[in-house]
Amino acid sequence: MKAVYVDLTVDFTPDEAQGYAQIMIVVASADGALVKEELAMIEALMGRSMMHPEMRVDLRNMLEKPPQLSLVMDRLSPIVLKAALRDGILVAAVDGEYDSAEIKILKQIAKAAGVKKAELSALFEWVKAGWEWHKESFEVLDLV
Amino acid sequence: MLPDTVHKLPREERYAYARLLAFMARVDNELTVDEMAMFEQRLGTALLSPRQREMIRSALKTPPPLEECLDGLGAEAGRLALRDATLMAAADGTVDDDEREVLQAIVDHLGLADNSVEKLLDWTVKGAMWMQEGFDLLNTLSE
Repeated sequence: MKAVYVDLTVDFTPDEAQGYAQIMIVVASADGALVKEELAMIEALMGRSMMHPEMRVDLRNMLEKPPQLSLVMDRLSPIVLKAALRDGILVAAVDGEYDSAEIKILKQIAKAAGVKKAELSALFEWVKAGWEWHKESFEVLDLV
Repeated sequence: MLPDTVHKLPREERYAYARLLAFMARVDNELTVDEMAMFEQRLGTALLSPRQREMIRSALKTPPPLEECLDGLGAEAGRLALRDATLMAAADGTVDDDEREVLQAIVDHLGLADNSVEKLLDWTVKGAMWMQEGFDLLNTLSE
């Protein structure tokens, strides 16, 4: 088995990592209610990108007042935006359904990243496949 | 990284869960970047307090004995810890004999079926393929 756990987000500069995480916060806050599942997902993604603990504190403080999406996206490269789009879909999906406000934001990110409609659909399909994979673990563990 | 129930466990069990992962990370006496990324990701999912995370990170340097880690885990927490210990063991691309032995010890402690480790390793391989598909998708997106 090939090691795949180191994501490209690990190589982001501190500014890119901050922008990436800010987008996760914007997506999670889009429907007005930040649920624990979304928070756990954001914390997981910040952990996965091995963000410095102090930067995580700054980002947690933004949960109350999310930054403006356009200002964040303006300073990010297409590759960072694409990673943010991929993981933003995961954040949006985590509470069980996509809210229209979340979809709108994801489309904005896709547009800024130059991602086409069919490619965006493929990312949504990928997230769905991941959900199914993850659910299998509960069956294996007899937790359903 | 996906919808999970770890954050719903009682705080003490989340802490015990994380200690078990710290133990697992050090079984083969080396801590790779892959394992560290996985470890940090699972600490995030567990919604541990910053102070607990600091304590857990120090447990990476001097891992507690396995029995001590297992003692703090209830039935659900134990199963989730077993699953994520399997992910940790496989994070660097190989599961060595020492890691397999620890996974089997956890299975025995929890009283699960003998083929549980194999089933979880199969599940882990599927997950690695799914993650790879995610990377491949990113690479093929338009510029």
